[in-house]
Amino acid sequence: MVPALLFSATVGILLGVLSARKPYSLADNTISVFSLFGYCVPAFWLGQMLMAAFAIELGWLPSQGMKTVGVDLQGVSLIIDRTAHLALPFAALAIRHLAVNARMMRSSMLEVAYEDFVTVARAKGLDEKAVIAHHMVPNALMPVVTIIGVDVGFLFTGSVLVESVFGWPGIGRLMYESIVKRDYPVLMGNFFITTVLVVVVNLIVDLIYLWLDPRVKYTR
Amino acid sequence: MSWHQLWRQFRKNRAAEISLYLILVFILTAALADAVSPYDPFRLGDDTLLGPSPGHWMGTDDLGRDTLSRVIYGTRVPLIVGFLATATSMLLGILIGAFSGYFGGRTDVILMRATEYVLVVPRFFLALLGGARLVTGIVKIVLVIGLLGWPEAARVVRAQFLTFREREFVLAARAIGASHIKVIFGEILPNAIPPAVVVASILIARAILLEAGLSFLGLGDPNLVSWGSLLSEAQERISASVWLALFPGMALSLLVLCVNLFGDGINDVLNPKLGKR
Repeated sequence: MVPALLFSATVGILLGVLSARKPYSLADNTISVFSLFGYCVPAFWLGQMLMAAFAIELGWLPSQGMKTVGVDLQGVSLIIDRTAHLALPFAALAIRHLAVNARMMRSSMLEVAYEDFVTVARAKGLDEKAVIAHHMVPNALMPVVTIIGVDVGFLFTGSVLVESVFGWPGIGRLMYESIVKRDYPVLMGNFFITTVLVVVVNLIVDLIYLWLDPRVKYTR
Repeated sequence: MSWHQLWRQFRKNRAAEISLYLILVFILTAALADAVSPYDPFRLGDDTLLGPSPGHWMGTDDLGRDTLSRVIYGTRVPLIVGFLATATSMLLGILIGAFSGYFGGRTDVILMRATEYVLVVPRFFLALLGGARLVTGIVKIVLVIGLLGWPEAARVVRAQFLTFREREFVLAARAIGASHIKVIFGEILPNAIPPAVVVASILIARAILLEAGLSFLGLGDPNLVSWGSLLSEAQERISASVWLALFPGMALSLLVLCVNLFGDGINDVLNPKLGKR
């Protein structure tokens, strides 16, 4: 889940910037279509399809669980084994959020593109890269970062379903099982941890605001 | 703007127009499922786990039931849940948002804290909890999903009320003696409809996905065929037949895609300032 969050945030933002650089170009249209589909396809179905393609047809990656059963692995081979098991659920979970972030970043960049300060930056002779990196991106990031904070809750949602598909013993699966088995202490602990995580991520988001926009001040 | 003009404006967005037609096709399919589907969705057959073939366009499942017929019947649950759950959410959200924005002060504080509470807790878990406790049945699923969707609607409606309650026409209505209720529903609410419609389209798409997720985990209505429950059956057989999972998932994704594109189209029409980039 955490790798999926980080990956979808960074790559999603990059894709958004890329597609906003030249609106309606080939790259932009490709990314837009991709993110539109990523936005609409349910993560658990995507997981099933990935599993069918890469685990069953091609046999490259394992389809179930967190580790190879019955083998005691050490060191590097342990890491490789875990990564191979993680790859598919990670992809299924990340693609949707990647799509959302790319979409948001694109529209946010296009909104910023018409602001006066961007014209000023271009007028004083900065090259396009500097304008994008130093003037447009920090301003365009604000709403995207907010959405990422809100999305953490949805990431948990996706994780219950994706973990069910791949038999991954994660927090979503644990929560589902504790609900079905009416194991309330586990359920409460789980709710507590997820809520704390959501709050912490939103705190980080608030701190990122400070860094992105010096005008933002938190006073007591 | 008249309806005719709105429609012309809407048709400028080709993707949204096509989506609207596809949504109508989905609705017709659901309504006419008995006439359209080639087989009884529960009829068992001898040909099990077939791929797509002339007799069974989408193949058959492990009990020889025709997947196409099951996908056609499965259209009903997501549509019913999508629309009714969203209607529930909108009703609640509009009431809460309207009172919160109009009266402000303590009412606003209490209602908004409640809204934020529902927003911050991972809602799928609340739905799971509700689903598991209230057992099954489509009415309960509609209620569970509907009761979780109102915060978005409430926030949008509240924002509209906050700006409009300061306008002169509200003051005028108050001055000629209109009651609070009359001002809220007669004067301000019509102005809050455009953004509320856009929120509704997002909520429908999300309700459909949520229903699929609940059915996938086996918390749907066990007596009804739904795309989510088809995917859940397919999960057990995925190594034997990919087709079982492929088609219901495609139908689900297509419907959600159409609802989203349709919502985008409505957004362009109702908020013309935002769309033209």
